[in-house]
Amino acid sequence: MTPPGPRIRPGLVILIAVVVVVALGALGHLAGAVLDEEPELIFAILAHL
Amino acid sequence: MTSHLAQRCPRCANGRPTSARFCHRCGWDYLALRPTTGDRMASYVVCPAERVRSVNVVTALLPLSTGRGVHAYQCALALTVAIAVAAAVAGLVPFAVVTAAAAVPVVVTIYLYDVNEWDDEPLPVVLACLVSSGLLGAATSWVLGAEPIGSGEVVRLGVVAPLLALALSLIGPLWLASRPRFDDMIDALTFGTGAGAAYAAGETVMTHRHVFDGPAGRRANAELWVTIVANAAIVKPIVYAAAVAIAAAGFSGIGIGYEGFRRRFAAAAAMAIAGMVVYTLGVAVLGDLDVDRAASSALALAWGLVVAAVLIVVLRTQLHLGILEAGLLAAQGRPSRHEAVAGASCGECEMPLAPLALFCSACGTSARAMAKSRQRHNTGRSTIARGVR
Repeated sequence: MTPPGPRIRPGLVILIAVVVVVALGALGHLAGAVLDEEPELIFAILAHL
Repeated sequence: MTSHLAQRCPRCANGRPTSARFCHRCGWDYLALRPTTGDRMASYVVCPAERVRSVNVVTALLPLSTGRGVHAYQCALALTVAIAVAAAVAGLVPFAVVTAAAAVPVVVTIYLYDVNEWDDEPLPVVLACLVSSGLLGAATSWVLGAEPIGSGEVVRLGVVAPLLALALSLIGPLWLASRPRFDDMIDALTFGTGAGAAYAAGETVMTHRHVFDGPAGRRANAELWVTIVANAAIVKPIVYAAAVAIAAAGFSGIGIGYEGFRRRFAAAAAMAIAGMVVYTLGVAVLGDLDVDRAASSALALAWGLVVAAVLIVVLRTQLHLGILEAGLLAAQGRPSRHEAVAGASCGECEMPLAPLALFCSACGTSARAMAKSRQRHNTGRSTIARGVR
């Protein structure tokens, strides 16, 4: 029986890290763009939530 | 060559096979150049191929990663930081600030899942270490930015801010370390790493929140943003993570249960405070220099790299000596819950572990420095913690 080890394969660690960080960065950029041009949209979304 | 023929370890007096390189009980290196000392500084207990005084961030802050996993985390950190810096060069400042803040916390979160550091209890770990520390970092940065506390910018940013950062970041890791499930030194160290990195992330986003408000905040030159983003992506989170990890590991101590606010914690906290204050004070003073802003920011980056390197070496030394001390105490009869059972194997070199081993006799890796699932398999327990042998 193969002893248990880490859950994620090494290559996948890199891929997940890059994808998540880029996605968060894109969200930040989008938030910046919205605040820049239509700040009331943020408040509308928050009010809707 | 006498040590090859000795049948007992000269440090702990336990028996050993003649083919062993390391004592499986206390971790003694039979081939050490200075046999009078048992500290084996040329062979780090988490990754024996490295010296203890190395600046490998991954084997210091993420000590349960082994083998190819170490390289994967190094690549993940390098790539995410490179993405943030590249975005700063391209003028995508909001994108760069967010990726810089998120890089280390994201990699730490993946690691927590990968090695099951949270021992199948992700919610308290994520909330106590990552979410609360991130929110506290943002809130503190907002308060300190709005309400001056000290007599000047240097006192406020260089002394008050780091002391608050350390104290607030420690709340979650110390709470977790006081629970039987997470009372191992490596657990406290890792939770300290996550909390410190998350606090730094919250502080970074709040400090640079003006970049989200409009183009006015993004008019600075690319050189300035590259140094700011590099600092926020790698230097600041590593300094914060290492300082909080040092203090948290001192609180947890080396044996079963946590030692609490005793001498080991006092010494560790003093080192953590010194590191944090020296870093932020240096950055604040260099930021006030009467030179070009990009130049002062580059100097602050260089200063941060030096402090981060020192803190990483301190953390590695603390972890290394703590594990060796715990191994020696266990070899002398103190209870340990990391002793190997039949069928156990090393997570680093895959060689079989001797019965009751606390170290791999072939490569010297500590039985505590392996993924939690491997530790469970090696000790024959359903869970490593629970405060019992």
